[in-house]
Amino acid sequence: MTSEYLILSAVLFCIGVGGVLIRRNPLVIFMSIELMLNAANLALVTFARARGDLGGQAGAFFVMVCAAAEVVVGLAIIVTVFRSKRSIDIDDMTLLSGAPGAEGGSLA
Amino acid sequence: MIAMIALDALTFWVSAPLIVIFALLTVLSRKTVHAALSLCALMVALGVLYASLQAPFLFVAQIIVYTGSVMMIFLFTMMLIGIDSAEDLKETLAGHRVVTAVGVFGLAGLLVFAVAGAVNGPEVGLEEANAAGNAVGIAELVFSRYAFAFEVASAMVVVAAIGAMILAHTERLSPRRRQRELLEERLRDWASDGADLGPRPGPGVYARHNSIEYPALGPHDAVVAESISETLVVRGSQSPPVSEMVAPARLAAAQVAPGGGAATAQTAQTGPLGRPPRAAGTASTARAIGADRKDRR
Amino acid sequence: MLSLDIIAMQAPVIFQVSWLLIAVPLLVAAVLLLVGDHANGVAPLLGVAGVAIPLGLAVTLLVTMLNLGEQSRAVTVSLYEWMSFVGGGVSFALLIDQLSILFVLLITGVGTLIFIYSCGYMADDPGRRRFFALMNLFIAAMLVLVLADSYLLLFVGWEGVGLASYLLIGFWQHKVSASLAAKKAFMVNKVGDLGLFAAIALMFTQFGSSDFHAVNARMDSSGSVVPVIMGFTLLLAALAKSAQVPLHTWLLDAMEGPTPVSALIHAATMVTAGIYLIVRSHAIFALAPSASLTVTIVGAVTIFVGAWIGATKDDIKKVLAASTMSQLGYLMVAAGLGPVGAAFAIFHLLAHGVFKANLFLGAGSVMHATGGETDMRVFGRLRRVLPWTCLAFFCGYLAIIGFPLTSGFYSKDHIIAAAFEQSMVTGVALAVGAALTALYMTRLWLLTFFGASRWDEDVKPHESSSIMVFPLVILGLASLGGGVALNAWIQGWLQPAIGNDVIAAPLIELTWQSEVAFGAVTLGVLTGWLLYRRPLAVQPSATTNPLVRAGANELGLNQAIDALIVRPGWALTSAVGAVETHVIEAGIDGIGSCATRASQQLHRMQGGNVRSYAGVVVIGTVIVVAALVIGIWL
Repeated sequence: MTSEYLILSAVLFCIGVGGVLIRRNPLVIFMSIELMLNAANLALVTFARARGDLGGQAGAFFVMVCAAAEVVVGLAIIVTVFRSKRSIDIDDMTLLSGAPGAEGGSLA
Repeated sequence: MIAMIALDALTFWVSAPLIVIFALLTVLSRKTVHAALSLCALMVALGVLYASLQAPFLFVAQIIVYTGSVMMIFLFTMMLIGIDSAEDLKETLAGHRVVTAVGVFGLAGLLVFAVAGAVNGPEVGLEEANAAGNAVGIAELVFSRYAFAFEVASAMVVVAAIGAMILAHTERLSPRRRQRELLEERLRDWASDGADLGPRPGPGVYARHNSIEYPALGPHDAVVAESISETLVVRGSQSPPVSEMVAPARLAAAQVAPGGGAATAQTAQTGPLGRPPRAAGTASTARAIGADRKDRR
Repeated sequence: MLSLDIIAMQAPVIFQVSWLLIAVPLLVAAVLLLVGDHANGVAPLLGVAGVAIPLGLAVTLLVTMLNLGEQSRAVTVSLYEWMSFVGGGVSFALLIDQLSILFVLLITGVGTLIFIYSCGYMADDPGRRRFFALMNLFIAAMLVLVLADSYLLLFVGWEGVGLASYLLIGFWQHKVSASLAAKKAFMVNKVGDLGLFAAIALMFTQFGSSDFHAVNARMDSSGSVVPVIMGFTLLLAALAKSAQVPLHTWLLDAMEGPTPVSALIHAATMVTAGIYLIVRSHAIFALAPSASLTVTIVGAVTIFVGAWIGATKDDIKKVLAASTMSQLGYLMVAAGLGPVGAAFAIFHLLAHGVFKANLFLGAGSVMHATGGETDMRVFGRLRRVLPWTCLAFFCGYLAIIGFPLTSGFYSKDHIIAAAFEQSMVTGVALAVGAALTALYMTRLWLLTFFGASRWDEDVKPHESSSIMVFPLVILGLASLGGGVALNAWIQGWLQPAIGNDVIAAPLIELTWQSEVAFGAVTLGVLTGWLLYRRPLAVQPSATTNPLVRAGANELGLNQAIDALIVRPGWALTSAVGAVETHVIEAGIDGIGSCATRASQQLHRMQGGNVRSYAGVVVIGTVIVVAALVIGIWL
């Protein structure tokens, strides 16, 4: 059964990657990232059973902690950006390119 | 044992297609809230898989942490920035679809190829490790071998909470105006150009609906635009056209006072504080209530 | 080094404070330069103190050395470790021996008199604080030069006097000619500095040290090529510093500086540094006969060229400068003769330092009297108004032409005699030089002080103040009597330091060489008297004599150097400039524009779009995972 779980995990991970790439809403991108983290968790738990070692489950637990922290900070950033730009389209957030006029609106 | 494996396989083959479908829905639904709900369902289904993978502690944690709190934060954020925002999935970057396809399918092929034969030999199973209970087993690991990682992770969570608060914090740029200042200003406005002293009407007051999307109506059916929540305005919520709201309101006003007409309506409007109508100020009062009340904000 | 230190510790304590010789004038210079205009009032006093204190110290040192035995007179005073490096080091050490103490006495003695004279001469100059500061700087640098115990430290002093000379020639910066003359002196001296620098570099590679002791000791085992190269590089250094043909051109222009500067730096002391260098390097030249011969030839040519130029110039200071060149030529010849002439070179150097300072200060007094005029054609009959100056000048005149019993007589006659012993050609050349010296000095003497007065009515000549006359008189007396005092003594004194031969030198000795020399001088004086005894026209007409015109043009050497070095230098510079502009700069610009264009192409990847970045990351991950999978699979 192990291989099937792992394949499911890989498929989930790739779906998450696709979500990150095609979506423009940072909320959905975050969800896709959560999806990828869960895929990794599934793989960890699967390996834990296959090897008879609870270390995998402990690892999955730590991943959950990290995911929670990441979501808190990431969503706070999204709210902040929304407050200043009135938009959360990720294609509008091109300040880093440094090109003149790249920013969709002023951050001030 | 055979029954266990069979049950195990059954769980997997029921859950796995559901998980894949929910995952695709998460990634592909246009509305954000649909994506979030699909993800919730996916988390629950994954939790079921954890349970069948002899990880009851993670099953519980998955439900509580992910479905319970993480997804709640998502929905809360969505509420702040617009729950019904939908996204046009049409691609705007040239060649990005190709990059996505190559990336996703290439990675999928490679990963499946890599992990399909990754575990050889019989499964060991967790019966021995879970002998004292799964939660006890994990706790023994977390508080002994991974104690340092655990402390670091806890510190990280604290830092993340503080960071989120700092990010959400905004500096006050002008002195705070308390009740006293606000009242003084209101009275000044009333004294200088007869602005209404009363509280602003909430949305839906005298409107056709009491939905928050409907603006309040002032005297003479004037639409009080600022009675709508700013968040709704920013989000671009579509209010019904003004004409649609005004006509029934007028009708309603006429029904309330069949003979009195306008005078009755005025009386009704000036009622709340018992303030006597000003002889020459009637029209201006109505205008002031109906007009933009920027000066008060 | 250790043994020398022990010697220094055993030596009398006066040697231990010999660093004050250098420190005092240096401190005075620093104070005067740093304090600014507040020090204007005390500048002359401080300036004189800055050189008089070292004079007192030097006299004490000399007395101490006279009381010591011959073997313990030379003392190396090691002050501190200047620099250290793998395989050696250079200590900052002063070498006080029979040779350097004579130089110190000349520098500080003549220097003190010139400083006192300057108090009067520069009394009205607004920049006199700067003047005294720079003069003290020069004294300090010159003392470093002669007291150094290694060529490297000598080089420090060498550059220091060059700097001070540059600053003092251009003292009156507002005069374009002075600025140009300063620059010229500096540039020409740089050629010589290069020679000295090369010699020092060679010493370090060959001997690992530039100490005089070490170099002299290891010279014998250095083969046959090294001494010749060292000799010629040191000669190049001496040529420039001592204004020998063909690097003499700066000295005539250097007369743009104030007259005390000309007297101290460009007659008495700095220009003799080249001679000092050659005498100090006697061990090197002893092993390089070709270099010694070249020294002699150059000296002889310079005697002749200097005398020729001196006989034709009308500017009193330029005549004296040409005379300095010529006299330095005598020193060069004597130094080049080796052991037979080395002591006489130093003897004549000291004598010349005194009488040439006397002559320059006399010329300065004349200029002071006539409002800065230097053209001898408008002097005349000044003996009536400048009696003291005239008298002192006459002493210097007698000394330079070599009148019997004066200092120049003893020192020069010994050189001429030694030259005749070396070769007849050299001797004849020196005798001709002596005749020419007598000729141009007689011309100068007659034109300036005798004949009819030719100055303008509005010029009111007057005798200088006593503070200027006093040094003149002292120097005049020294010019007359110094020879008698030093004649018998100096050879034996210098012998341990420079290894010269000691020959009998009675006060009066009639040999055929001295008779030839005296005959040449008499001939020169008579010729001069015959030519210039007539009263000169008030407005002399331009001469047509080609010899005179060539001399007044400094034999065309300036033009030759201009055509041979300066113009090709300019052409080379502009060619290099063109290469810089059209090749190097264009190449660098090309690299820059290539990079700009390439980055403009790369910029497209940096669209700032997060999703494209994510796409790149994913593709990169795919490639890495593919590599891993393929690697494991294979």
